[in-house]
Amino acid sequence: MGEALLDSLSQVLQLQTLGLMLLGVAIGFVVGILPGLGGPVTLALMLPFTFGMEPVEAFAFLLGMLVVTSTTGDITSVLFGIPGEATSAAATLDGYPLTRRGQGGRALGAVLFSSALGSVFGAFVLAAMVPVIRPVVLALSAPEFFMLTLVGLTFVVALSGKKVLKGLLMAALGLLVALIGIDSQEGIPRYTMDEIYLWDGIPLVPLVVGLFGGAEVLQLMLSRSSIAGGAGEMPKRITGIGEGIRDTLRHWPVVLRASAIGSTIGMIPGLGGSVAQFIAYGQARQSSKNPEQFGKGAIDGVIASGAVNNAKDGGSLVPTIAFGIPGGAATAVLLSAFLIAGLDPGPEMLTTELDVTYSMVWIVVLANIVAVAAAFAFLRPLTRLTFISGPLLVPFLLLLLGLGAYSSSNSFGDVLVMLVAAAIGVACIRWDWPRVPFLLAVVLGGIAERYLFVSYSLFGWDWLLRPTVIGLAVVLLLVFVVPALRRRQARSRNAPVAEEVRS
Amino acid sequence: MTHRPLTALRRTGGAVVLVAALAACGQDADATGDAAAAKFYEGENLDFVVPYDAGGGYDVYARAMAPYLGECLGAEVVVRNEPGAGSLLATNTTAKAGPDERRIQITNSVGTTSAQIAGADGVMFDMSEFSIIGRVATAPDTVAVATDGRLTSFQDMIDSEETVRFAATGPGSNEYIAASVLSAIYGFPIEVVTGFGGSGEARLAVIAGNADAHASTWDSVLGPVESGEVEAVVVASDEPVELLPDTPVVTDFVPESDEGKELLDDLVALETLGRGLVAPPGLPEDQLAELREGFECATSNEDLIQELDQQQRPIDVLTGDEYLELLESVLDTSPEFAAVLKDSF
Repeated sequence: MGEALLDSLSQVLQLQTLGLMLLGVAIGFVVGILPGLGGPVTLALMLPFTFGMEPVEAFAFLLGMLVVTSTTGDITSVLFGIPGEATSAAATLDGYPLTRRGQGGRALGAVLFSSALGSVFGAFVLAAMVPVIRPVVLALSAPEFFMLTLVGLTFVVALSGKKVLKGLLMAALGLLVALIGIDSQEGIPRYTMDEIYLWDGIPLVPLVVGLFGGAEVLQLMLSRSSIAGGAGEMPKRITGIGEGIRDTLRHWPVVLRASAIGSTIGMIPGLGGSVAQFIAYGQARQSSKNPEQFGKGAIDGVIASGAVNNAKDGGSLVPTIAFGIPGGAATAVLLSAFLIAGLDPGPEMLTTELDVTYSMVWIVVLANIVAVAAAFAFLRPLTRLTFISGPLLVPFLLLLLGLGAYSSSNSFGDVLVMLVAAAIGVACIRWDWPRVPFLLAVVLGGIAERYLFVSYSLFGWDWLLRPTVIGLAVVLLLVFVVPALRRRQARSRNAPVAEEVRS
Repeated sequence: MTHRPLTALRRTGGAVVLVAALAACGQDADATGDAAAAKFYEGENLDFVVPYDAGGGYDVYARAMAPYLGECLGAEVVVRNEPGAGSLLATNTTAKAGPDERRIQITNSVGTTSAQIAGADGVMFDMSEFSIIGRVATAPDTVAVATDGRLTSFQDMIDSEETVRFAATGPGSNEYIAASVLSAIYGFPIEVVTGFGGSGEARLAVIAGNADAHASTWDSVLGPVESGEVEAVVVASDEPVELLPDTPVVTDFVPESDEGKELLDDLVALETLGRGLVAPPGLPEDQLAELREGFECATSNEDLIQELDQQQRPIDVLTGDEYLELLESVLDTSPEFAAVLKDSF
């Protein structure tokens, strides 16, 4: 294994391969920053350029591009509150409040550095999975996926903070929204109001962009100041990047946990990054010393969202490589690249073509390190943007929003969904209702329903007796019991909790 | 005063030049007018719509063809993904588009034609009313089973007393239609388990042994077959697929009932529709002729053929007229076949 790892590293480090990877990184960098314009479409556009490339070269180019989009997607989230990708929404929750306080540099330092660490973790998981990859993926089926969605839904509580009742209501609303669309059992349209557009349900990208980005831009419009307006005059130098990096190192357990969550959920087809980010974020809040800071600019929230985002990329490659089952839209395009390169995903990727698999591990790591290093170079000019006055910046941001919503499926329906979501987002901010439980329920509700029916169709009631299902049920119980015990413990100690209020 | 005649002269001269210019313009306008009638697409943007997300088979064909088609038409061909409602959304949009819209679309003709015959919800088009450009490729559905599973051949499946469980994304999908039509033809009991997130996920259920079989287009099953994950047991076509030489075709298996035999003919005809290329209905003749010429020019380009072969997505062209004839014959199907299709939605 060690030898194969070194072999593949030397393949990746060849001049031409490295050059192609850098080109991919450059393209992915820009695409990630622009909201909506996502990895999958860009990959499809670039696919024809890989004709005639060696497998490792093709993956250096494509994979390098793909993994970087999730890294730089966080930049837009933190600076403007507009998720650069659907998977970068969690980064807006605490990153943007920090920027509004003039600490954009610190937030970016933290989110980028934790991204780099997360990607290394995800790549390590991919490499370590190689010997067991096939039995593990085969052992997981609809019942396990259903239980995981339930575990995900329990995070509604953690993500609602002190407003548990409001959070549960928002989650219930989200579950109702998740019902919209054609049901997968009988093919009956539900709540589609005779609009074929709604058959596939409410699309995720415009929903996320509107709920988080649209709401923030509208707020900025009304406030008429710059994003970092509350922080006073623009400082001569943007500081805090180093502080962000130090924050990340200090919160290393957050990085580790978020990365583990990211790479695990990334492996499950259908779940992916849009769910993983909130579970990692909710987990970070649960285990944080000052959970009341979450949503107002908690640095550990930013770190968790950065790490989870990039760790999931390594995980999502697992089912693609081992079975040719794409974990998401982006890996579906990557699958075409396998065919062009003359490779068949499956057992041989883990035996005769092992060097290609390991080269992917290296590409994920190297591309992220290069991108993060490059991002640090651009941070100063980017952060300055947040000191531009609102009325000047808003038209540009509106353009980003419209582009973000429309480009996901080239439909004006998407722009409408984005606008409605923005209105809901503004109402949530105004009357202090949590948005995340709503979004989490929209995403998980549909998946949970599908997997519940598939579980029953495949296994009857026996699915409840599968060992992994029982194991996950225990986890589910612990998620509820442990925090309750902890609260009781804290109460019995009755010590005044010293609230270390960090900015 | 001396300057006046000069000015007048200049004015007249100017006027002459102006008139000449106008005349020239007029002539130009006429000339370009003629050219525009013949070359509606030249120098313009042409949207090439894919009714699915980026990354699938339809997307691969469209993106490979776009530059060649652009060269042949002298147009800027832009691929647009308009996913939704299993290709119905984009197909409806194309049906509603006016003849002056520069828009063409690759169609999942097996799916859309089945939906039309079944009178399914959401169908707002008539396949035979589109301005038909041609067929890009065939995509007959192919049934795959797990390599070491309970069923090892299509004959096993036909003889099966136990319910054969097919995995599928949802009712109305090609994989659902193929499974239920095959069961109707040969009379074996099936259950279609729906709710999988995608074709890959459905196939994984077969590999893991949780379901018995999965039907999907032959090119999407090729990778898993070559890596030894699944075995392709039958192609729903009367001609073998070159890249799956060991897989028998469905016409090798003779159904017991006469009704089954008729349904089989209908299925084979339906499956030959494959991946089509259409423009909005009611295109003026010369405009459609321009598109058809462009299509023939592009699809006869050796570079394109080779490029698609390399991706294991070969083209199999039918001209516009041939394809229209085929479509009309499939649409004019027996009530029995229509009834079977209806059950798949």
